[in-house]
Amino acid sequence: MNDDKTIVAQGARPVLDIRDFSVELRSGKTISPIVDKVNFEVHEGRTLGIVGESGCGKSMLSLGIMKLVPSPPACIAGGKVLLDGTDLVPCSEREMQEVRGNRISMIFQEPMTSLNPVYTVGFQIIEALRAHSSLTSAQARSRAIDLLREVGISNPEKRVEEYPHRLSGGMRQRVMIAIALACNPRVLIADEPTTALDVTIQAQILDLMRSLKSDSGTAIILISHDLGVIAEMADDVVVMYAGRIIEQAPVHSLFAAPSHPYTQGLLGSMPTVDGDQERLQPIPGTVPPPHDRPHGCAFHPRCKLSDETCRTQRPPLEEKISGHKVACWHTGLGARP
Amino acid sequence: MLRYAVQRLLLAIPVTLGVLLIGFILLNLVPSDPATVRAGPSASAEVIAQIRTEMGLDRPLWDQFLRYVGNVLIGDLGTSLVNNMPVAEELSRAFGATLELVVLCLLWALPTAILLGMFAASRRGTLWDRLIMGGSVAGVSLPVFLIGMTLLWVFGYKLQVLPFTGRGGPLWTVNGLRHAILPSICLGLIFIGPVARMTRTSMLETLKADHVRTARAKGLSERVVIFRHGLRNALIPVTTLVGLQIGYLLGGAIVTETIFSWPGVGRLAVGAIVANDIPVAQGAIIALSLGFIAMNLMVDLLYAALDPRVQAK
Repeated sequence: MNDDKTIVAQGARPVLDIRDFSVELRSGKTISPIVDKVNFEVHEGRTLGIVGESGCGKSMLSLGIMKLVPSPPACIAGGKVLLDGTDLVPCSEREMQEVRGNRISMIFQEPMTSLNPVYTVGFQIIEALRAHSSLTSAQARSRAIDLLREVGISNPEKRVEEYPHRLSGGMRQRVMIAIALACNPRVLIADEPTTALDVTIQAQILDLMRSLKSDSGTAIILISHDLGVIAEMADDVVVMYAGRIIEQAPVHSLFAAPSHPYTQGLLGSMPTVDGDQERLQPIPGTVPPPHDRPHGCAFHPRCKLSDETCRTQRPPLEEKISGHKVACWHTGLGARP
Repeated sequence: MLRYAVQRLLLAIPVTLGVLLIGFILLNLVPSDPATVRAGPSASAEVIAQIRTEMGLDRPLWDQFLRYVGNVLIGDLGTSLVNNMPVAEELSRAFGATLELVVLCLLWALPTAILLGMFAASRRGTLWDRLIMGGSVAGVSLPVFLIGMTLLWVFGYKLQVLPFTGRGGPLWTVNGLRHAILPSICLGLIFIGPVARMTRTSMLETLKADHVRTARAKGLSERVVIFRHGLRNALIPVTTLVGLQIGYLLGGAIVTETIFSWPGVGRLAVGAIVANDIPVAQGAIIALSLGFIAMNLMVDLLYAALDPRVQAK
């Protein structure tokens, strides 16, 4: 949330640059876009938050960056994923194995099931280390113990021999973070990392991620549907709806002046501490499924501002004020009086 | 692990006693008098009565049972009513022959079943998948005697490439192996079906799991993902099935052994029942049941070795 840092970072080359990236779902002859021409950048030592309801394509986007979308039925339909300037989309599976867990790592929503129950925690960290380095097993073991210590697990010499079922959800998520950080990745993608955890544990995990970011300079993509988490953690925010980015802004600008009716709706459906709202304002309806996206602006059936233009023409994502982009006929740059 | 093993072993004791009791009661319900069988058709009533006293058949049932259990514990299963041979001796010979058949069957059928299951899972929905799964249904549903007779007719009679009656000596001799091939194929064909099917289902289930996605996200190669993170987890439920199937193989070998005149426990049991040779029949039932119990014990231990969560419970 500090502006001078934003300006510095904007001059530098982004660690990860996503351009016109699309993921499609193909079943039989129907092709449904799940992620539709998405553009964003992530800079070193910064956190990009991606927000949206379930089904908006957040997880598919993150799996797509890793080229781990379940294929078939999903496939990457186009665009570029530039990691330090190199495009990952045309890379072979073997080249991607070099990238995964090494230069881009990922942690997932379900700490209870994301670790293999039949191997020890230590084995699973060592496996990640040895996949990308020539460490001996003794070196890898001592590095695994160091990593466990770094992510705040007490008595790591003992924990390294434990099986996942002996650890709590928070501990397992710490182990997942240790695995993700094993090879000092350039980018860490965290897909709802705290959703399955208790609130107190949530805060601990977020603290941990924040301190790791400032220590290592790793760029973080934080996917969440929890605006509180995003406000706390992110430097920049992307709001997704039905596979597209509908608003993109630095975090303070987004929360101070949400422009898209959907973003406004998301903020309006969140309880505030001072509680001057009488009731929470839910957004009516649900995210349309990928095979049945409406014409024009995908949000129009749920939007109270919608008119004929919204129903027929898709609004472009345009910069409204410096750094703040929005895709809406009514509140965007091209808004008619 | 040791505590778990001891616990399982102790649990097997009451089960074994139960088996002894049921075997004993069942054969006491059979309307046949062992004393009459032993005495022969021309014996007088006095002789039969004398033999009955000698064999302890005039004592109360519970007393007979306790004596029987006591004898079993010291390895004495009585003597055959037909040829007066010690039952334990006959059984150990027959059990060896059955075990030989089962081991040979497992040597080829177990890896085949698991590989077929994995292959079908990796080619899900293709012609290969459907062929393998169709074949496995055939293996499960065709009666053993039909499979056995067909093998015997094709390879033994028409092509005359393999011998099809009896045992040709120990398994490690050429002749012994040749004699065992057809019956072991017959047993294997009924074993592969369910095991391949289970492996396929379990593998498909496991490859969808979150931890497999984690393994891929670590940058492991697909081979490592499938064998290290897929197969080992997928084999946990398959282990149970394999244990049960081996149990059935021990007992289910009866038909196969009869078709191929294989001198195993199954054939011994059938012969003994037909001849009213109660001690032998009893011994065979106990041996097969103990085999089943031992198999289950092994499955439990293997299960714990494969899945660390089991020991914790």
